[in-house]
Amino acid sequence: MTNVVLVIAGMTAVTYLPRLIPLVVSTRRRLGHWEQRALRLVPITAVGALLIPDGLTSVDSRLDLSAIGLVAAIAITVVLRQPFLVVVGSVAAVSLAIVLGV
Amino acid sequence: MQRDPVATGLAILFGYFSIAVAFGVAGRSVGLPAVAVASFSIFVFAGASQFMAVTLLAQGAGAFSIILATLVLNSRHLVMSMSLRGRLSGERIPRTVLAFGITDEVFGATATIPGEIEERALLTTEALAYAGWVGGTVAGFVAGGFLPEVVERSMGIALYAMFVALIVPPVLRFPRYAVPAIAAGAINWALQGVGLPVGFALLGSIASTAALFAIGPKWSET
Repeated sequence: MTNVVLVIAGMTAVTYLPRLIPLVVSTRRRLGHWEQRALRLVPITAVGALLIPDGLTSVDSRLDLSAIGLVAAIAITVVLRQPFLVVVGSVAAVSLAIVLGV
Repeated sequence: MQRDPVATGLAILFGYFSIAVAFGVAGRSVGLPAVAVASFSIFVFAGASQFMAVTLLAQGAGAFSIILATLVLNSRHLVMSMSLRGRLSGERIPRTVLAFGITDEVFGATATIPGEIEERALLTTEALAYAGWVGGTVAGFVAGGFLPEVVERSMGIALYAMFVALIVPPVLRFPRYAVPAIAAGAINWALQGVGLPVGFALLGSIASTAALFAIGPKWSET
């Protein structure tokens, strides 16, 4: 149990600090155009890298089941634009695929 | 332009709730007490690393290696916070508070739309996301064992379905965004393929792809 307390305390610190430091440590220098453009691109590259490749092996490490879930998520997003329904629908599609023996 | 922070926050709340249920179930299944499982979500508030920590604890890994792996995995938030910094407007909410809630989804939902980010809007989204995460964890621990096994297995997709919900709308509006997004994924895949730990591969691919596509103004124009 002491191990678990240590893990939680340590993880809290190493998760919080990377979120905090860039917001509170001031830099004197103004960012150049290239740097500003790069930071603007970060949200889009971050989501891309979070999805590929780990999203493709997220259900039982299987590409087919994961792909069914992702395709369902894309379809529901395009039609409904409701993230909650996207999550529920995607989980339901994967469950259905498993039940049907894919 | 901003998304409605309450609608955004509620969407993340529901998404997080379902993922956190899976975390609560996972925590219980490896034999952790309720207070430990809840504490992970209350204090750490970082989905992927919590799942990793529970898995490693179950395998008997030492505290130091788990903490180091978490640092590597969560260092990606450095670039997210950097990207937010110049776009935050308002000075009434301490940055120490705002920083705690900068998760992938909160960042993705607030930052994928161009323009300033109002601090109260960010805090609203963060608070709702946090409520969903902590609430879902507790619910998952309590419900653990009652869920059908098929649903429990399928929940692995939930996190990624959320990312799809975040990235598809901006790509539909600005189709050229698909290019840096897919490039980042391909580089991440390649870096993991040559044996880099997942956290370093994420950080490296996010930062290098953003830097590469920023050489010309073409890709970041909105």
